[in-house]
Amino acid sequence: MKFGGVMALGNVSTSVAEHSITAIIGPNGAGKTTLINVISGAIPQTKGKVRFQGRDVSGFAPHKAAEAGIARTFQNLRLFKHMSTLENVMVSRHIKTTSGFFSCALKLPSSRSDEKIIREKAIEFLDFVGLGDKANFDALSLPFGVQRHIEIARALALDPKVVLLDEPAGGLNPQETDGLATLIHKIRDKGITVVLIEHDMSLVMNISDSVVVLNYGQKIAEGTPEEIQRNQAVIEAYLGKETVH
Amino acid sequence: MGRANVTALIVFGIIILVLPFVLTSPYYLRVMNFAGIFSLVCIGLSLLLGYAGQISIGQAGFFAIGAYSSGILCAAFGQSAWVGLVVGLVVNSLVAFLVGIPTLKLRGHYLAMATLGIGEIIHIVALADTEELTRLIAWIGENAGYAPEAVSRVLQPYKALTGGPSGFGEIPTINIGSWVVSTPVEWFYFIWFVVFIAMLLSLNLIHSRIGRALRAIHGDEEAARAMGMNTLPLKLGIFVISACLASIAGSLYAHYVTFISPVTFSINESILFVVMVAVGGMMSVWGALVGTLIMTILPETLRVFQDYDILIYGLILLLIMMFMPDGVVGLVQSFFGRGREKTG
Repeated sequence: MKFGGVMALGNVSTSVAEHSITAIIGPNGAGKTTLINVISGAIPQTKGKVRFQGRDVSGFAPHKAAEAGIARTFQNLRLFKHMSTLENVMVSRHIKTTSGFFSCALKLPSSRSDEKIIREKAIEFLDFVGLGDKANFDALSLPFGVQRHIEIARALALDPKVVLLDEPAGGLNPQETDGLATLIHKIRDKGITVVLIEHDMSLVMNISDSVVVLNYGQKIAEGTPEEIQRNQAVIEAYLGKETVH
Repeated sequence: MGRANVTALIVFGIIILVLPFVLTSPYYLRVMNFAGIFSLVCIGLSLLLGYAGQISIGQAGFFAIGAYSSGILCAAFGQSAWVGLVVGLVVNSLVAFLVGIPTLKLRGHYLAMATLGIGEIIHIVALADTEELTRLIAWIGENAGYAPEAVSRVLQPYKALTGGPSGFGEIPTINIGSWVVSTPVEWFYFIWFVVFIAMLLSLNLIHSRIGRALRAIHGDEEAARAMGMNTLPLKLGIFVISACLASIAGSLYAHYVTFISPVTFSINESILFVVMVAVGGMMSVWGALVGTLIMTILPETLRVFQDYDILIYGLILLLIMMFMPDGVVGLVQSFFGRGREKTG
C-alpha cells in the first residue's frame, strides 16, 4: 500500500485463526489502521491479497466486505449524526432486509415487518454491549466511552465473522477498559474472530491469543503475548536501540 | 411514523378541507394553489437535501420538463393530461438517472455543480431560440455538412412547439373522469390532495429503513458503507424521486396556469426552492411545506410596503437564517423539547 510514494504498508503477511483474539500493535505511523482499511475495503490496495475464509476478498468495496462478514469500528468515532443510539445500530441490520423505496413509501406489509425485525435485533445488540438503557439518546450526546461501545454494537449487528476494532480502548478510563476486555471476550465467545489495534499494552497482553507487531509498514514480529514481550526487535521498535557508551 | 406526525397529518388534512370556506377570495386561493404546487418541488428537495444530504440547484429544470411535457403533449398534440404527466415523469427519471450516476459517485459539491448545469441546459432548451443555441446548432449542422438555412428550417417546428422565450398557452385543464378541474376551489382541493399524498408517502419513506439509510449517508457516508450499505443506488433513488415530484408539480403548473414560458424555470427559481426548504427547516419534510408557504405568501403580504417590500423581504430572510439555523419548524420542535430527536 502506497500513499503518494510513501510505502505505508509493504510485505505484511499474516493470518488470523478463527475464534481468536489477535492484536496488531506498533508505534504511531506503523500502518496499523491502513491494514484495517485495506481489509475492510475502505481504501483499495495497490498490491497483495486479502483472503477471508478461503475466499479472495481483495479490492472489495466496503459494503461488499461487510456482506462477506468483515465488520469494523473506527479509531476516530464515526457514529451517524442526528440519530439515536438505537437507530445507529439499526442501520447495520439493513443488510439483512430488502424492502425498497416502493414498499417503504406505501408502508406495505413487507416494510412493516422488516422495520419490526430491524428494531428487535438492534435492541438485542445494544443489550449485548450493555447499552439497552441508552437506546433513545442522541448517540453523539453520550460520553466518549459509551460512543465506543455503540460503535462496537453497530459492527456486531452486521452478524460478522470477524470484527476489526481500531483502538477500542483509546480515550477510555481504566474501569471502562476493564469493561471492554470483558466485552471482547464475550464477542469471541459468540464465535466471532476479533482483530484489534491497540496502544494499551496491558489490555493487549491480557486478552490477546496472538500479537502482530508492525513498524514502518513492515511486520517485525508475530507470536503469543509472552513471546512478543521478550522479542528484541519489538523492544527496539518501541524504546529505540540500546547504545553502549 | 410517530404519533406526532400522524396528528400533524390529520390536522393538515382538516386545514385543507376547511380553508376554502375561510379563504373565499379567488386571489388568496390562487396564492395558496401556487404554494401547493411549489411545495411539491420542495418536499422532494427536502428528501434529497435534508435527509440524504445531497444538494440540487437544478430542481427548476425538472419542474420545467414536467411542465413542457404536459403543455406540449396536451396543447399541440391533443393528448390527455395523464399522458403528459407520465411522459414528464419518464423523461425526468431518465435525466435524473443519467445525471446522477456519475455525480453521485463523487463526494462534495459535484451534484450541486451538475444540477446547476442541467438546470441551465433545460432552461436554454426551453428558450429554444436564444442566440447561443441557434448558433451552436447551426455550427454543428454546418460541420455535419448542412446549410445553416436547412438547419433553421428543421428547427422551425421545434420553436413552434416550445414557443421560444415567449412561451405558449392554451394548455387545457385536467379532467378526472367527468370532473373538469376548473374553479379556484376545485384546483385548491385537487392540488392540495396531491400535496397531502406526497406528504404521506414521504413520511412513510422517512420512517422506514430507506429513510434511516438516507440519514446515515448524510451523517457519515464512509461509516454507512462500512456497515454494508451500497450508497449509490440509494442516493440515485432519492434523486430520481425528487425529480419526479418536481415533474408532477410542473405538470400541475402547466394545466393550472394554462400558459408556460421559460422565465418561470430559470436558475432563480431553483435557488428559491433551496431557500424555501432552508427557511422551513431542512430536518423535516414539514419544513418544506412551511417554508414554501412563508416564501409564497410573504411577498404577497409585503406589497403594502410598496417600493420597500424587497428590503423588508430580505431583512426577514436574513433574520430567519441568523436566528433559526434549523428553520422555522426546527425552532418550533426545539421549543417543544424535541429538537434533539429526529421527528421527520
